[in-house]
Amino acid sequence: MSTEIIIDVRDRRNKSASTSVRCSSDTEAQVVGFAESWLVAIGALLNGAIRSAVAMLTVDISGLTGNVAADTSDCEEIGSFEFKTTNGVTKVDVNIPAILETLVDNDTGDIIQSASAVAAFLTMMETGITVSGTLMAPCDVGGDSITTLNYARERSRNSGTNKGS
Amino acid sequence: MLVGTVNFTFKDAKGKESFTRIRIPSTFTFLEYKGFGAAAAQVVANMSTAEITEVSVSIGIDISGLGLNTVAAQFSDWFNKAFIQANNAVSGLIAKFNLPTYDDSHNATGSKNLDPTDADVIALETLITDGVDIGGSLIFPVTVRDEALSVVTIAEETFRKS
Repeated sequence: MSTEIIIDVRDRRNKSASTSVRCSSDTEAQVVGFAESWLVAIGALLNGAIRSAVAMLTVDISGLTGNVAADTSDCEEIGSFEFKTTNGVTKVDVNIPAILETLVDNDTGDIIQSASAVAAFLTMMETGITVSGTLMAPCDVGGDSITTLNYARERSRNSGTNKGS
Repeated sequence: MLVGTVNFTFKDAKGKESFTRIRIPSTFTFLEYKGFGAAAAQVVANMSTAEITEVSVSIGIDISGLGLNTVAAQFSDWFNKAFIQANNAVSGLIAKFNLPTYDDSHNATGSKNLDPTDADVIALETLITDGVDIGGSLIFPVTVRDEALSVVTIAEETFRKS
């Protein structure tokens, strides 16, 4: 499976533009090695500043179960979660589009945290999940670990601006 | 600290798309990131009535040691691009590269074409068609169908948005 590498370039007025290349490997050392060669090669032809390079890995989701859009699904109905982090300052927001209505308390609009699907999600966010023997836990943009849930409630939002944290 | 970002794309019954993402520390392997992405997708799918149509993981690459320009030159302009097109000779499928802030001193004299005798142009075109050896494996640019690129068909200066 190939990997796309996306590169951000800025000009003198700090205007940004991106360029990308798809390389034949998805192995870390090979992707990084190719990216370095590509960056040096294109860098010699540019007079802007190369600001960043990101490897975009494609995840195989063919094995997901129950992954079908229900007739009544609506991305504007969101399960909105906010978590605290270890630094005590940063908040991590995660929005789940088309939240399952049975996971929402009809009286309060809160997400039912005891529901098994929600409990599994909270465990994943706060504790992490084990992948091939390695515990992997989400964090904030600065790398600080998530500690506890701040709130979880349903809300509606225009799908045009409906993006996660 | 660089962190990895797992990106989820959802589509509902009306075809509307929405997105969410979860960040992960940068201390894991690509394989582990993919494993987390797949496992997290199932956890998220169990909470949503929409279909998850795509999951990707974006990982920042450390470019600090490559000696690249860190300050843009006085006359650099993101509109000024090198446009390079290469194809796979068998399938005919192409890959296109737009290189913003192109330095037109690499043009052939009196031409909008990149100079085929310029050492930096040769280096890039060779990388496109021949790839590069990384740890004993040849790694090369590919089309969207993962096919190698065998020939550069266009290499010229353009002025346009990406």
